[in-house]
Amino acid sequence: MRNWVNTVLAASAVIGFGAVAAASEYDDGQSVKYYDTFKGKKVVLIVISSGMDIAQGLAAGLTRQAQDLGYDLSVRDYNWNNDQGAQAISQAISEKPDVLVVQNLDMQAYASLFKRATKEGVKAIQVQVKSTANTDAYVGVDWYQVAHKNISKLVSVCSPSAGKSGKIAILQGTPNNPTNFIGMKAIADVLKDHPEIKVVSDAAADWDASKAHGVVSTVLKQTPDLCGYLGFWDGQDAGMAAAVAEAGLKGKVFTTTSGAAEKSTCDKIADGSFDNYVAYGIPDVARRLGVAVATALQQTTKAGSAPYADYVGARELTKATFSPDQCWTVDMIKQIPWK
Amino acid sequence: MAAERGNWRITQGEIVLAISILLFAVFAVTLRGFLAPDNLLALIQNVSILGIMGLGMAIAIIGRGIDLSIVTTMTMSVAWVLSLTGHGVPPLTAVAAGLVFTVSMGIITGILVAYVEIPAIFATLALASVVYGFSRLALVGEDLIYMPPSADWTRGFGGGVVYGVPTSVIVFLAMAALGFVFLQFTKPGRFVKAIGDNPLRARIAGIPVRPIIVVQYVVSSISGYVAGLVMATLIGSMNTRQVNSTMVYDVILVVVLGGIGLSGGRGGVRNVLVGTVLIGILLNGMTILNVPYILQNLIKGVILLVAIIVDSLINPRDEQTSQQGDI
Repeated sequence: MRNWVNTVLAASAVIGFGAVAAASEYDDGQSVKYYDTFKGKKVVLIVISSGMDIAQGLAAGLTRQAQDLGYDLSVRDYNWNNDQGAQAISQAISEKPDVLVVQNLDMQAYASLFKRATKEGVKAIQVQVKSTANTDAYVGVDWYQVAHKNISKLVSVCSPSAGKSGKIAILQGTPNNPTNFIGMKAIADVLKDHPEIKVVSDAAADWDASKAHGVVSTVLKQTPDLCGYLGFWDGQDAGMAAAVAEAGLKGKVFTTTSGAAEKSTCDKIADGSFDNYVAYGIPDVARRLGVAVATALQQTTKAGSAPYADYVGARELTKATFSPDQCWTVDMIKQIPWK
Repeated sequence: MAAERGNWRITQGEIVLAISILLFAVFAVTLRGFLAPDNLLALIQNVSILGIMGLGMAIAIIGRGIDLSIVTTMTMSVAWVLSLTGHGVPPLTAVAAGLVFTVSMGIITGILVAYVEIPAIFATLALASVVYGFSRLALVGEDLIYMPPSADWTRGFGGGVVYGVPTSVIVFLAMAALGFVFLQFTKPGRFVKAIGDNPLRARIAGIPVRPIIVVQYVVSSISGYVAGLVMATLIGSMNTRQVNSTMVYDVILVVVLGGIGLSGGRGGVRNVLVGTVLIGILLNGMTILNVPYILQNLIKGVILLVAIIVDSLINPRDEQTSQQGDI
């Protein structure tokens, strides 16, 4: 019996080893070169904040890819501070990594640094927010589309032709933030064709949920026949949802927002805090970012010679269509293999 | 105060009260729905968190100090509480842990100011960074912490309504009453005022100056903590990015606007209430009017400037009224 077990174990070990050996030795003309490309390559990822759900998702995706493909990844964060971000990018450029990945906070701040990176031959990929400067790739959300989907939904729900008052309110973050600025452009473009919709308030809440609560509770009392509220970020709009619920208007005032659909906010779709939620799925962004990094590492073209964009489509989530697998956690992204 | 030097003097608190009444009257006449009881309650509710922190800041300032770490301590301690409850710690245990953290930070600030003798403005500024860095490293992993659904029953503390009055307003008024009793009727409270007025004279009079300064910062930290708990239970989350916001200046604005001099020794709870109500009326009116964001900040700044200018015209500083350590 014992011998038999040993024989089976030995045989399986041989078969197993053989399979591994075959996988690494078999060359389809590109596979060996593919895996060799990444050895010793250096990638720097600079994110807004290591505590931000989006940044954690992106870092988890690239960390897994780096482990699987064997390149060297360094993750740095600038804690919402553009000056620190500029320093981090300058520092990274001087280290001459093979690929530099930056999550922008702003459209202008790093434009000249990106030009410098290109000039010095460092391939740069921008993620989530695009600077005014084009680099080797942009991967992430189309902010115009996100706000466009949100406002179009609100217009169709609140239109007088749907038997509603046509009165809506917008809760801005900070007006000069790119995602906010682009979003307001989308809203203006849509509302231009819908004179029947009246915006009663477009106050800003500084991305702060308690300020959002204050603004929304005041607007709700001032406009008893308000039909819907549009917010720009789920974190801030938790305050909007709280104010709507507190006023006893949950389900009566249509709330719509957008966000990364991380698990903790996704719960708010299920409990009806948000009637509509435009989600930019970070697992998808992380995956496509990985593809962009792998592509940049394989291509021997000059930095900045062929800029391209990969816009990740935003999905609308509602309570009716909601299922828990539409939300994500960092642990989930860590499990997506690259090899 | 009014009878000082034999002639009648208007204080800044009274000026701000007059501006508040004027603004209130203007909004009441011009804005539809401003006078509705619901709106007036919302008006107070929207500034109650600011007001609670203002009470703590006032006590620090009256004692000739300042607590620039109040927002950071508040944010990080409550974020930690939410994070603990998210990991299955019972909410009340988590709140107790947060209180221990907050009180410890207050004691450390107090020791730095009272015993190491670092000026309060620098001690609290530096401590704010330390508190943030330490908490992010050791206690709280994310920028934005949501309250787990299992702790939803605590939402009534800041987000409930009792007999039509929001609980955040009730907590604010209760804290104001406590602050009033502390400053008027307790020994440490009277001592805080005496120290703020003249620390050397207070020491000669036998007041334990250093321990009282520690008490002062513990009190301001705790009031920040209560404000944070109200905020978290009101909106169901805590955003640690708040640490980088200008909120601490809003808190100082409420206190200074109400007429509590930065030189210490002057003012009380009444001043905080007046300052808070003025900001409340202003924010509420501007929201109803849908005043653009940048203009809102400008108006707030101009009102503070006007109040300070009028104060210094009516109560000019001279050798007798100015104090050493006046900012």
